[in-house]
Amino acid sequence: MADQPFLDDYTLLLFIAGLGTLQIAAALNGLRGLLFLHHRLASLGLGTALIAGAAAGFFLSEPRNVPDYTRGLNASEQFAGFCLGVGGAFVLTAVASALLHPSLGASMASLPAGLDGLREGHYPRLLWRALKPAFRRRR
Amino acid sequence: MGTLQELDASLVSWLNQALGSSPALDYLVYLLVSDYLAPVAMSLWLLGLWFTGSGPEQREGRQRGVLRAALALGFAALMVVMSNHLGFRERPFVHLEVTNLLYAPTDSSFPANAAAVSLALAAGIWPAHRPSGLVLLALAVLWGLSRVISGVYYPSDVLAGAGVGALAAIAAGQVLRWLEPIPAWLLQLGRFLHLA
Repeated sequence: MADQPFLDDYTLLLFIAGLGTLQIAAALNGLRGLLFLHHRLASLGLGTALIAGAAAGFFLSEPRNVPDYTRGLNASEQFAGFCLGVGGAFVLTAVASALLHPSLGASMASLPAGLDGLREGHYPRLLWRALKPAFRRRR
Repeated sequence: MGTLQELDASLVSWLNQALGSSPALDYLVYLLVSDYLAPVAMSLWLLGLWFTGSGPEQREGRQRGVLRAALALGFAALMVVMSNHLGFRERPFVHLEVTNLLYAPTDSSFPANAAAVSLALAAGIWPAHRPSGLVLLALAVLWGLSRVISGVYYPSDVLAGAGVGALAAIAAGQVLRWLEPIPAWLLQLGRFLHLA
């Protein structure tokens, strides 16, 4: 166990810091469909706290400057950790913000294309409206 | 050649003297020299940049920049691996009495892998968003400098790595132009799924 790579810690770092990054990016760009909180400043604070907490937890919990033939990570493991952590952060952000603001975009007949849709609606609603025509054609 | 080697060695020894005098500085260098702090900060910056932009056109320009930076990172890593097959240079800590705050890497010191990948990211995003290019460049400089201070690289390794990174970014831009319209299709798919 002592020589197992700390891939789980690294993925957790990317997951939590990814949540924080998404909160900050969404707050700065008015993407309400990705925000956990209504207030912009509170979202910026939450994002900053998540990033700082994730970094502190990762670097203070154990020595990280170790080679990849002990507990350190090679480039492929870092890439995998990044994809898993950030991908998970996006999924949780999309689901949690939809649960927190379930009516966001419900009253609008059509929502803007691309990321601009997240200014008016939450991600599951946008994705459903984008994919619904394809499902209907299949039936 | 011998003079360059001597200059390299004396710069590493001189910079390394800064370590051990202040615990705060040592800890800062310990964090900066790590395999994780600068790459994670750069990656998250680019992730955030993906979602920014006042409209679809500006956002698409930035997203193309992020794609170019990611491709440049891959090219830079590949170029370093290839150059490591051509020659091997031992690390400064093998020959010099230095305090190393990283660990003892066993691969070639020349060209500096850290400088190559970080410069590739900075140069990759530069044409699309200069402020982000500057932030990533600052992180790349701090990462490379901390590794020289720690006796992990010679200054010439870092300069060569930076050159590799810049070349990788130019190559990535060219390849993306050749690949058109595939990047445009990818971004269209992303827009359809409300991810771009």
